[in-house]
Amino acid sequence: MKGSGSNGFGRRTFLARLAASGALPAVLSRCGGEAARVGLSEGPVILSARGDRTDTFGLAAVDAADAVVRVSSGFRGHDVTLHPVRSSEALLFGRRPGFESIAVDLRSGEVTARLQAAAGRSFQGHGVFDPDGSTLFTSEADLETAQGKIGVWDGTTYERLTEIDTAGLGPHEILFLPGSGLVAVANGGLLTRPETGRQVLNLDTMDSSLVYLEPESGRVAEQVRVSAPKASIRHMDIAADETVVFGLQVQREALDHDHIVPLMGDHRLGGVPRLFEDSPEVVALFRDYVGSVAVSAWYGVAGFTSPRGDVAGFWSVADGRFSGVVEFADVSGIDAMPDGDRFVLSNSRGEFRMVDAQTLEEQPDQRRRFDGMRWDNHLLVSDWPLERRT
Amino acid sequence: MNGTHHLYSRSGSAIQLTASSLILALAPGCGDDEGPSGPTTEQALEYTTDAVIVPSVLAFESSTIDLNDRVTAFCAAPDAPGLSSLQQAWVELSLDWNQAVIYFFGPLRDDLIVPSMLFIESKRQRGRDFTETVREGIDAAVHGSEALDASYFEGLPFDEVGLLALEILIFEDTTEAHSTESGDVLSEYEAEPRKCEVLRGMSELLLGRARDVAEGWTSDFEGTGTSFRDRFVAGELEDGDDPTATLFVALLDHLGYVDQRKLRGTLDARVAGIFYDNVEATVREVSAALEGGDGEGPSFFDVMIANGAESDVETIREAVDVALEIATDVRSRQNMSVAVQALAESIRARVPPALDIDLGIEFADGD
Repeated sequence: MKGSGSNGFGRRTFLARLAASGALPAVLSRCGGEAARVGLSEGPVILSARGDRTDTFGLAAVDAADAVVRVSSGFRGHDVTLHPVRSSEALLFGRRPGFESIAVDLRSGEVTARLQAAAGRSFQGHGVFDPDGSTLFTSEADLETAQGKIGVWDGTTYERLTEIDTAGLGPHEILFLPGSGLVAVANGGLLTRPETGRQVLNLDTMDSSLVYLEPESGRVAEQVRVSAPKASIRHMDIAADETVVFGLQVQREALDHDHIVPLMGDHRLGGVPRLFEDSPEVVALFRDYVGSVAVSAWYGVAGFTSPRGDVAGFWSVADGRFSGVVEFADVSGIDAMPDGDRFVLSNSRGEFRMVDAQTLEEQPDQRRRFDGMRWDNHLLVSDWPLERRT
Repeated sequence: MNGTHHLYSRSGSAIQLTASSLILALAPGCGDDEGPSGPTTEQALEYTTDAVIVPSVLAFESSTIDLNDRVTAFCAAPDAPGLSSLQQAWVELSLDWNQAVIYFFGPLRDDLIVPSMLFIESKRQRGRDFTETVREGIDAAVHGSEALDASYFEGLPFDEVGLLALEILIFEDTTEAHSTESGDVLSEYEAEPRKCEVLRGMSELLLGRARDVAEGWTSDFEGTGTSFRDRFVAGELEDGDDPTATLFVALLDHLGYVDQRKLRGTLDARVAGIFYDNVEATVREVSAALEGGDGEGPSFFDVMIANGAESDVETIREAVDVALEIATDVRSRQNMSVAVQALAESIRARVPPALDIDLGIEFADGD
């Protein structure tokens, strides 16, 4: 379960699903012309960045009855995470290079805090809390050098306290590993500059790595690289045994061959990164691009999406074997449901699809569409009320 | 591709532009806010399907039939006129394919991992050039002793068959030099009867694929008893997608393929020497899909104009003209690449708002 995995609450959330608690939220919501009704219903809630222009950018939360809480951000968001302690607070991180992120109260629908990037820094789209919610870590980069930074923020006041070097360029997704207390960072290794936008300037020398940092000292506990030199580690999730499962994006223009490069893999602290070599014909469908990663802890299955290939593929975490693939136009968001039995997929056309985590077959009768909504790269599923997660 | 490139106007005078400047120049303008009073997108889709898409698919099938007939005639009595006729038939087939291939959905995409399309054009998957694989397979078949029966051909993988295999068989011999001299090619057919067996088998294999695709569009899609045409125009796609969006996503995807995997990768039809003709065929088909062919319409452009996007239509037409001019006259890879990018960006930026369709949002490298 991605969002939970990201903040270290995955298995607790997963096991606590039956714990009933909390009052119903009181947010007025409206979906596609439906009559407004009060609050999000108890049960699984999907949160995602949304929108395709300034007036539609924001965060949305959707419950099982299709009630929607929409919050405008004014900037294009990327990933979402939940505050581990504040029962209705979610954070939306600015897409790289972002200069703002927001904290949102899902009961009131209000923006409760705006986090501004420090001078000379930009947000890179992802962030994660430590398990007690006292500290927030955000992936950031030096605007001039692209040197990776982890912004360290007070988890209560959202005051930026300090920063940690990530030992690489262009960090993207970050995770907190509750067992080891380390922060895992995907250093994409790509150099971009504000004046040239998203153009990659260091294809010849790019150096992507997966780094584990001690959050208190900033010390690099471990740094590993994958064997594919032009593959950029971008997205990750944590399996039940704290194996970090990651997805890659290949800079094809930097390669002098047209062979298929594995895009999925995993790593455990102290080990060697493993690339999933199985089923290259399926990997080819991803077109060198993984947009998001999520693990179903219950079934030990990792899901990967590719909006370029219009597919979501699934590999076994235990042995790295390919397990299944589904087609879904422009799919990027993926997470496991709180009970672990299904994956949720989202796309930029405002659609959700469910995939059975055991059979890995899509469930057509569970399809949902939210007209006018455009789900961006990542989604997160959690039980509502959020207290139920603990 | 941000360098400066020389393009040529219709009058032939050189102009300079960059990819970014061309794309900026083709960025969407502001249409008025009047509501639609003309034809609908659904009407345009139905018209375009019947006037452009299905005819292109059938033209491809017809070309495979024609090639197959000429293969039969040639192999009955190999001679120079027969070989020339065969080569011309392959060229026509390739051009027709480069029109039909832009509709990579439905019958052409009947399997997620190994769709029918791959057995026609193996390169289309991700730009990988299988020329050497095909040459080795043909050489082994021609000079081997294995029975060249139906089961042999049906068992061949996608990277050994299709248009590329026929091109190799028809335009060059199996010597290490891969001679393309007509005399050498003809001599081999006269000396090696098995080469004609391979040619017949490959031709019939492709004909079977073409018939399946045509049948899928016109009468029976995947054994449902319903044509894909009917499901497409009725908006009854299996995945619930909007058919017009499906069409334009496929069209843009193919332009992206032509740019990234061909122009900036490996050219196709190199043995026959008709790469730019293939690109021209594709651009003309893109134009036909927008214009509704030569018929009365309503076309997608008609809908856009009715929705107040006449200037957008004109801009896309200009991008088509530039691309065609480069494909027919300039024939520079860099310029062709810039023009194809610009055409794609012009369509991507201008068509969706004018037709009220949703093609998704940008998921860029690094996200």
